[in-house]
Amino acid sequence: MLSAQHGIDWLHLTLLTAAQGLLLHEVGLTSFGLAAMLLTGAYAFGFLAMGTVGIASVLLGVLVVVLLSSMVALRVQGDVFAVITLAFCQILHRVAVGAVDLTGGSLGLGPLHRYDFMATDAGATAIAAACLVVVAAIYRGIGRSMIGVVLGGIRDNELYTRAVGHRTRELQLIAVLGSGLVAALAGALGAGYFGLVTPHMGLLDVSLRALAAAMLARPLWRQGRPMSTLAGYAAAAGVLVLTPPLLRTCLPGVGEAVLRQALFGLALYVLVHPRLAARWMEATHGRA
Amino acid sequence: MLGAIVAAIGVAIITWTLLEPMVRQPPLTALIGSLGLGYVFEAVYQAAFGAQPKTYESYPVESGLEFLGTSATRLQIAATTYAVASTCLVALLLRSRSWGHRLRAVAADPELAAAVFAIRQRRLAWVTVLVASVVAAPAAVFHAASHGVSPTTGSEMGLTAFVANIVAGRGRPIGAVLIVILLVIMRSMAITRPLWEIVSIIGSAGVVAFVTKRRRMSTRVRPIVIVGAAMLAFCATLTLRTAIPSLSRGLVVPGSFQDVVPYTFIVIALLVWPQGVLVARRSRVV
Repeated sequence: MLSAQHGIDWLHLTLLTAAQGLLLHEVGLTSFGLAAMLLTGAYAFGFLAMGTVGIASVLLGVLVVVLLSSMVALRVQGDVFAVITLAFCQILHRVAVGAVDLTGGSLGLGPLHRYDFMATDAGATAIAAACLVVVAAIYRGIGRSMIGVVLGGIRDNELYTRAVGHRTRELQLIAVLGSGLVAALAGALGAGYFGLVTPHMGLLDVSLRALAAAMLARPLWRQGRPMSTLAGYAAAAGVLVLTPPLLRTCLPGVGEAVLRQALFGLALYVLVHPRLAARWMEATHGRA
Repeated sequence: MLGAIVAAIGVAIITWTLLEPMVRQPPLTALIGSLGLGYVFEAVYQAAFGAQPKTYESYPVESGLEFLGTSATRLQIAATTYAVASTCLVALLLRSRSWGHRLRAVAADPELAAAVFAIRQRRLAWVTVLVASVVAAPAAVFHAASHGVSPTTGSEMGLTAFVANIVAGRGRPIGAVLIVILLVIMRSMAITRPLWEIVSIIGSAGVVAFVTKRRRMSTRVRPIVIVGAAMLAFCATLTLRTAIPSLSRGLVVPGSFQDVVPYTFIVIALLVWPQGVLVARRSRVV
């Protein structure tokens, strides 16, 4: 029922959830564009594996794409930021489908030549776990430092935070850039394990999955307590990864896919419903 | 058609019951909640009717009618006529009926509308959902007759409609219709016209939009002036291409990138007018 692939999926989704949670909980921005960053990282790995470009070019390319999209999106705030990131997600997905000569179109790139240990379950798990440890260490450092406090100030009252002298725009840019790079890393890890890159990795559903996991982990989020937050992200990612195989044992065949989609949609709805979300918070936090 | 309208009313009741708590939340909350409900409905439809697209097998294959240098089937003409008529009807309702006045008041300032004019926002929102469902039902029938219907029908269009409303700005439903038409035209023109022509048309409209905003032109007249400028630019480029045939051989966007053009326009429009293309910019505090 459960395999090593589920563990690897869980690690990748935890990374993506951490990236989404950094924006959602720490900075207060809702982004639908992490799937685009994931797709960028995946194709960057694909080009590297195929020998099309060197590693320096790949890293520079990823940095340029993530930086450019972050700078453009941060010219606006709130709902408009979310819509622009959604547009970026659609643009990159369409480009990945349309640029057949470069990206292989709908079929994508693959099979990719990579080191043998990357293709094994143990190797992929070790690499993903190592990346997660590094990201967690950085997240912990940010969360327990003045940077985390200032990001919280930006989330709660950007005007006041700017008025007291903090460079809010630069910090927002660093946070969005960091989030995008972590998402790109998750994409590269996925491409490295599966040996295949397809435009499906950049669908809006991928961003929604990470968003749902980040919202599910909300009760465990605390300002200045990054470890409990990260544990929440890991737990939420685990729920989303484990639900499909568990459902398959009850409803084999098409029924599982239908039920899984319905449950996912229901989860999204409940997590933003004002009264239901408040009850979820009360149940996990207790009444104030 | 009647069945579609009745079904739409039924879905509106269910949707309103589930989405009503999010009416006073930010638009993003309602978007995510709607997306979640959309996934649930898709799953229910798939469980009930299967995932394969279904078509109206009894609908005959039509030949196109030629006019104005293009061709269209009777179904397409009927769908276009309905779209224009329903848009005009909704615009008329918004301007002439008390429901429309109250809706515009709530869109402008919800708190003022509730406190000063005692407008019941929940009841108003319910009526609006009902009207929207009744207007959308025949359009869905036209779309299904030409494209078939599957559980995922309408999801992409719904997302585009939401984005168009954000681009148009708060309280501009008819403006959102114009934005959607513009996006569709851009999508079609992108692969049939040279890039310089598209840039000229959009650039002309952009310059006129900027100038009219600087001169504080009335928001009722401004969209008409902008659209007029775009049409003038279109005619000018057409004339140029006719007079200088070599201009027809400019760079054309490949067909596979057709969908990139409207989304790129959305990004540019939101960067320039984050409050909405058709809404006056509020003064900055800092």
